[in-house]
Amino acid sequence: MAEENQPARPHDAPQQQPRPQQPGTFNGFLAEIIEVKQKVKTGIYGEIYTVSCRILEGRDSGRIIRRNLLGPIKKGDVIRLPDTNREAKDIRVK
Amino acid sequence: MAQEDVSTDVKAEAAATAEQVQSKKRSAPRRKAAQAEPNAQPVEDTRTHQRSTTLLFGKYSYGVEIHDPSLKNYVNLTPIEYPMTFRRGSQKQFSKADINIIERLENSLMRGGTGSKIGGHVIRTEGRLQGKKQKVLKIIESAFDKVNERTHKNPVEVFVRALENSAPIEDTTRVRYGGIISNVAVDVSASRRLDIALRNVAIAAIVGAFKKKRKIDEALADELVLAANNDVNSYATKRKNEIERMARSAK
Repeated sequence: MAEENQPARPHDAPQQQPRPQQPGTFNGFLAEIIEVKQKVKTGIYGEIYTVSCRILEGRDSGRIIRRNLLGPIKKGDVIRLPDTNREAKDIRVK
Repeated sequence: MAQEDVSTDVKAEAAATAEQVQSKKRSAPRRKAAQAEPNAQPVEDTRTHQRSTTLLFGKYSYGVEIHDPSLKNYVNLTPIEYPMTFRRGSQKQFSKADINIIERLENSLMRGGTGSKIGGHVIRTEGRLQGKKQKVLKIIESAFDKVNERTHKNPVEVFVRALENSAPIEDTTRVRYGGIISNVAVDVSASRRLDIALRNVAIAAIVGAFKKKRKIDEALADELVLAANNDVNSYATKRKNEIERMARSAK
């Protein structure tokens, strides 16, 4: 209870924790896929796509980031990202 | 003159009886329309932009708003009364998006049990529902009737809410770094989110009825109502939370 009385520290803000879900609202931020790198499928079985997507919601809206995606995708799809501050690393597989 | 009068009378009577018959014929379909009136407003199909008053099973409207914009392109609400199209598109990518969403639930219910272990057991139903689409269609109809009795809502809407609440947004994949296998968190595409949600709703119905007194339509109705309210006891939302928790720890 003592933690609630303390003022929110500024460096805690970027860590976006999952919010409690209310009816009609969903966790995560919407983003639109603008480019699919078809040749760079990674993962052990080659099932992961690397895409670049434009964020449509939140304070980072308009920024373009790179993410790793699972499942069938095409250009123009809208996806949900759990957080927007993390850029996807390369998944390197021999 | 008297003969003419009689003839005119007869004609008038005949005309009157004909009108009555016609009015009876007309009144029968009118009554049906009046019964279905609360739901029977024309719905515009988002794909073909045609307006139609076709109802699911002759009862439930397809006019449902999809709250999640990422699933909007993949949840297909094309009005069909008994969704059973003998389509040919299994080899084409994204042809799933052209199937009615109720028909996709039928296709996912026609399965021979759970693919993997659930609660320590693999359930095999030994062909009870496999390939039996008419049977599954009747199961869905009675399940939707039960949902409508319980919640007094449109069951198509309840079903869409259940799908939105049980679609995970992140998942894990296995990566091997020089002999050490570790998990890495990845995002999930819109098409796969819907696939997982449909599969988990169907598995919950089969597990809920297997070797129990409960019938499968009751189990399906229970699961739809629980998942639409984001309840803790729903199998599909429980599974979604588990997947997302594992992904969060693997970041």
